[in-house]
Amino acid sequence: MTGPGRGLKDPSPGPTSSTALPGTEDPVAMLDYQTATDAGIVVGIARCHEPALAEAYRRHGGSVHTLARRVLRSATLADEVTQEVFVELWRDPERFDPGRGALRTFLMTKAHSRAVDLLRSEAARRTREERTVRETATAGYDIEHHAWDLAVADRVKEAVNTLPADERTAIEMAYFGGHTYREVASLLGEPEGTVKSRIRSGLRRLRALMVQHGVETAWTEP
Amino acid sequence: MDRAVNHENVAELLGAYALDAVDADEAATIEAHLNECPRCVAELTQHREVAALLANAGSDASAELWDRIAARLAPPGNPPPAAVVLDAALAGALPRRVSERRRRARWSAVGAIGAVAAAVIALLAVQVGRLDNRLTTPDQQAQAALRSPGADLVALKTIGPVTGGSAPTTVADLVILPSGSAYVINHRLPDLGADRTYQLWGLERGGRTVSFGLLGNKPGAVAVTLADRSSIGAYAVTAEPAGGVVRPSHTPVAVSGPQRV
Repeated sequence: MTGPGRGLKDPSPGPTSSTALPGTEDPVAMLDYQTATDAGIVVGIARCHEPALAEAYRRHGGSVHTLARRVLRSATLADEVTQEVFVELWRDPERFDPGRGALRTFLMTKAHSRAVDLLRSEAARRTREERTVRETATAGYDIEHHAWDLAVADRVKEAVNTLPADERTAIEMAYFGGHTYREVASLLGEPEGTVKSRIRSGLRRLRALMVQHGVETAWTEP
Repeated sequence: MDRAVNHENVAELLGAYALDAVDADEAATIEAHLNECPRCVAELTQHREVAALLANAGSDASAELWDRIAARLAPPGNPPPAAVVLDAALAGALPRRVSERRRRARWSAVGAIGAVAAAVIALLAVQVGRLDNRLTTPDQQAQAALRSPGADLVALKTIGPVTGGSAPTTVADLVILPSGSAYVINHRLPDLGADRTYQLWGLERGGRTVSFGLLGNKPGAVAVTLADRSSIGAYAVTAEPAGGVVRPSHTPVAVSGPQRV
């Protein structure tokens, strides 16, 4: 499928381009936003300029959706989370503070939090244990397949590979599995305090490793 | 709990919190601490940046999903977001100043405002106060101001839908004295709940929105000070959360027509 990501850059219109590519009637604005910083995009959104939101979606929509799907294991629910995240950005752009990091981080944080809320509210009607068994069995191979951009994927992968296995497992089970650290501890049969510390030290180590591997963690758009 | 101990306990949890992996009661403790600890905020920000790098695009964002998002941006029948309304108001769709009935002055810079994309909002020094009523009631002072020869009277009117709709009604007046002292006189603004307030805005010709202060949730006559109104192209009133906001977050309940220098 040709997503907006392709479509907006690629002059060849797909069959749905007239409706799928918002703001095509406003090519100047589109060009502006394609090179705009996070802050520039959010200013556009605050001015209710739809192409600005379209550009935010083009840049980050795929990642937001992938993360929500990883946590929720449902494309339908991930669709819902993705819509909420971007509609909320449209309605409340001032919640994003460019001084506090990249737009990507902001959106991913929202998406994760919303996905986890949904997951936990669904817990009663799901057979949590079933999912958990699967989760535990598969923990350990996932992060490396989930780097957001091919250009930095290898570097993130290297960083992740260098992480001690116990830290990596704890992070994966919490972040992608949607478990609290207490749940992770109970699943692994480890003390809660240990898991709590592993998550924190793992994230710190990952950051240092990413920096070492040349990944700009506080990456912002050109 | 001892402050330093609390800091250590919270800091230990920041990694898990960044991954939404703490219980609700822990989250509440952490959030309270974050309000007063920049160090923890900085650490949390770093954790979140790292986490955000772990999940990948995998594929492009779907165009079909974008269509569904775009469809939700301006549901038919709902009022458009504040900025659109303000721009439309400034584009001359609104009534003239009541104090200048002689001719409709089309303010030439009006169109430019809508085009200016800058939305950086400065909350300028704002002085707001209910009138001192040692001698007269606020209402009486406002009425006196109204009769003062140099006073400007600006009607604040409701706005219908941007395209068509019901005729605007005057819900409040803004009386401005040459000194910059001004009074908002409420006629028909409904009372708000205790958790909300009306807020008066000046819309600068450069595109910025300047707060002229909070009017309270049951405004009668309220005194405000318009420190510098030379650049103000129009006025607007919004209903906001009780503490006020730095940038209007709601569709205005009333706006003025374009103002001339």
